[in-house]
Amino acid sequence: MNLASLEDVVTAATTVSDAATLSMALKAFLKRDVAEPTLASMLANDQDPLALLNPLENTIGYLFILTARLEQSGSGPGLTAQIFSFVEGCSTNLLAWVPERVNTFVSRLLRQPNVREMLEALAIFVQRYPHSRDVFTAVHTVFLQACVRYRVYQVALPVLNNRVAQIDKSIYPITYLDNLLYHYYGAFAFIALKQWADAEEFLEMVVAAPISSNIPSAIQMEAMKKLSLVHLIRYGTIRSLPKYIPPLFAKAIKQSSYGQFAKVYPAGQVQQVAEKEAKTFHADFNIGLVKEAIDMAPRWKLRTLTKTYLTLSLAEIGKEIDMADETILRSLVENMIQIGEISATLEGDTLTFIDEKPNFRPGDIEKALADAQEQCQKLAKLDQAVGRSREFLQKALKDRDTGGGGGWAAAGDEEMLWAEEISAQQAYL
Amino acid sequence: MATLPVQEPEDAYMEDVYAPDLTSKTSKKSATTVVVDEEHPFDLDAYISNYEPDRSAIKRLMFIASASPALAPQALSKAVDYALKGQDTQLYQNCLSAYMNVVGSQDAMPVDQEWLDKTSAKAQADKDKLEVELKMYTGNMIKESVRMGHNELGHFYRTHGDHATALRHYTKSREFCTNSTHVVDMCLNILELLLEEQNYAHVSTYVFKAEAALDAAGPGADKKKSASNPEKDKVQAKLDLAMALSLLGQSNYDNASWAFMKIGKNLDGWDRRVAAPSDIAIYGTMCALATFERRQLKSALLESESFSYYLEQEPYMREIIDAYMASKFRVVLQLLDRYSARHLLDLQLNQHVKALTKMIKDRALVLYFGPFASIRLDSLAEAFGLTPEETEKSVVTLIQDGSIKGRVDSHNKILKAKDLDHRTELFIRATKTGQEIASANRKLLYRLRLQEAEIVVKPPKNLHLEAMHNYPL
Repeated sequence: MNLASLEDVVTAATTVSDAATLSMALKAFLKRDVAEPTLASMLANDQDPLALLNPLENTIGYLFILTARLEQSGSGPGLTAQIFSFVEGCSTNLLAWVPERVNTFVSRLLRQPNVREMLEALAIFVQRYPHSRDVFTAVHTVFLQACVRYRVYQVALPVLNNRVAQIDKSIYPITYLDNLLYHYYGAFAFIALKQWADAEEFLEMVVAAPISSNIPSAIQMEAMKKLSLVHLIRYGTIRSLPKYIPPLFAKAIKQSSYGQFAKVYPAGQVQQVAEKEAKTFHADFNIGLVKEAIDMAPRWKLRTLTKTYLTLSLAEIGKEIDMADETILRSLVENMIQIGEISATLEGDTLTFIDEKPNFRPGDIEKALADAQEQCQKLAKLDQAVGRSREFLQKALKDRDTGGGGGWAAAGDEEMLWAEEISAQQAYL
Repeated sequence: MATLPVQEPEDAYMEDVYAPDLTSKTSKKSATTVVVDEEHPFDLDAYISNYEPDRSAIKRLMFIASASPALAPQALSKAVDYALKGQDTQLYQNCLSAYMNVVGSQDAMPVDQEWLDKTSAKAQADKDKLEVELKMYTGNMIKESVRMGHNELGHFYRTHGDHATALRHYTKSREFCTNSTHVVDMCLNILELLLEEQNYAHVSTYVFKAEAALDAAGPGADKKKSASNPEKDKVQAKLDLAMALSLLGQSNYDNASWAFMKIGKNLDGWDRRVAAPSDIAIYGTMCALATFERRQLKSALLESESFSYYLEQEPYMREIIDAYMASKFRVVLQLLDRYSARHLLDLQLNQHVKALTKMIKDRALVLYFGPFASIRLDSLAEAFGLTPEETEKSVVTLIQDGSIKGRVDSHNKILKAKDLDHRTELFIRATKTGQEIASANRKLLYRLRLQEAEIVVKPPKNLHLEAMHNYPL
């Protein structure tokens, strides 16, 4: 099929039902010198070609014309509306045929002057683009990078809260950098929004990314630094990392300024160490996190007191956590009670700690059980998939031939860990 | 060995976090000057008569002199006496000048110039003779004689205070050992030297070496079992003692207590040179009380045949153990305090007394609180003979490190055991574990997918060479 003009393109887009043929033809059309201006122009009768196309049914044609238009004329109010109707209406299956054009579309979208609006459109697109919402694509990374760059973290939340869990390299090619950067930027957003639990998870994902040699990526090292500070903020101490993360990260942190800082946290001379190591913290752009950790230090100290005492007077608390000003202390204590960091009552000058007794409603239990069952099903499915897979069968066959034992040992740690996880899951159930 | 350094107790780690710096400094000072009075008796003559009048005894005396000014004149004059029996002129002069410094001019002791001249002449002659002999042996290539020559020279330098050279000769003799008994001998020589120097870090190396040699000697000695075994036991006892002392010296109290329990009865002279039986009783008991469970105390300490022998040497130690087993902790602490002078004036124990006493007290506090649901801090203080403030502080520290499961009502001064609702606890734990596993699974699955797709962090290409450079293998 040979396309010569915009009219041809529109006709093909509406009539050719075979996505493979259409995408081939359009890709061929793009090779012409005037392809982009042609695509961006109006029809001969001055009609808008996009008005003739349906975003859902003619996704490919719509994408090609829209993308061209982004580059040629600045986006007017009409274009923005078209963009939104496209991202809301496009067909996932059809997009899978033209990943290159999608990438161009996304990068051009981000060059628009009203980038904040475009980011909202992109947030919708990112979730519609892959065939399943939990599939990770390179577009995820581009989107998040822009979000961090323009500091619009709220827009990123719907995307981030939908954790990626799958990879389909055949349709959505990615590199290890895409993966690292996506989680790194995601952690940025969560840190900015002070969602520490999520930030911790994302940073851990960066650090946990598989590495082929003993040399981690610089992104991973930076993430590890941030992770250690987030641990301090969340737990008051650096937690040990999961077993599958190479020990070199924990070692590197221990010897660094971050290790020094964590050593005195929260009861020691936190402020002094922070000042001493300020240069490093500044250079790593982590001074904000460090400050946050310092602000949290008295709270951590106070929390340890709840485990030791039943009642304490404010004066005693002030002495223990080294805070002389009683008004600040009082407001700190009141705030901690309010947001539930400690469960206690403040009467006059005496703080009485109450044992935390969370109430479990039957509904909660049922939900927990349902979650666990869902997990279990997922794992069972995966187990079957692995059981069917070529690699596994080959290994199992070899295993049988060599009389067992050797195969497992050669299979390496990954499977072993995996087996542990499954048995842990079963034990929990 | 010019002057003895004042022993600073290694108490940095047991300093109370909440105590202001000032108190910890003053307590450090009080640890270095030991008060001996009616309440804290110490009999210098009886103590030092446990040891042979050799260099290590002088070291003990010097230590006592530096730790307790009141005992200094007596200790130093004794040290001078002992030094005159030895052959080290330098040591004699050191003792004498230390003595002069303490007593002042009116009670001055004349310098025994005649002894000095005679001894240094003899030392020179001995040294020449031994060195010539060694040279001759080396020339004749007779291994056994060379070994003996080195040994003799080692002994010589040791008695004259040159430990480094002594160690060199002892180590050198190793090359000429022809059987495992010689190796054991060499190890024992070195161990004695190391222990005198209180150089504990290397002790274990030589103990292991000697034990291996001892085992090697074992099979051959099997035939004449009855004759060789006491000999072997003697060596084993010495090695156990060396090990125990080195563990104590390195503040590894838990292992030290087990090591002390093992020491056999026959120490063949070391009980008068390295550590007296009463020392072993004290060290062992202190370590055991600080680290053992009640059950272990009964089985390992009270029912141990060899250690009972040592315990007999120091009856008050048995009193302490009996009081501890009967949960009369006040008596335990009182006895420990009463004999603190004896403990603090001990060269080897001094720097550990504070840590051990604290550990014993803490352990006792935990034991005492065990059966109670709540207890008034006053009565707890009463039971231990402590002040209420001290008690609260100790209890708080113990709660924080997790030894006591309870909380302090600071307002009413009551320690309450944590009231655990197992059902709720279970629910909390189950849901928490569930969530953790779910999230771990999610992360792991994703990681698995990454690996499957071979999306793996690769080292930059030009880094390849650099990495080779950094790791030559």
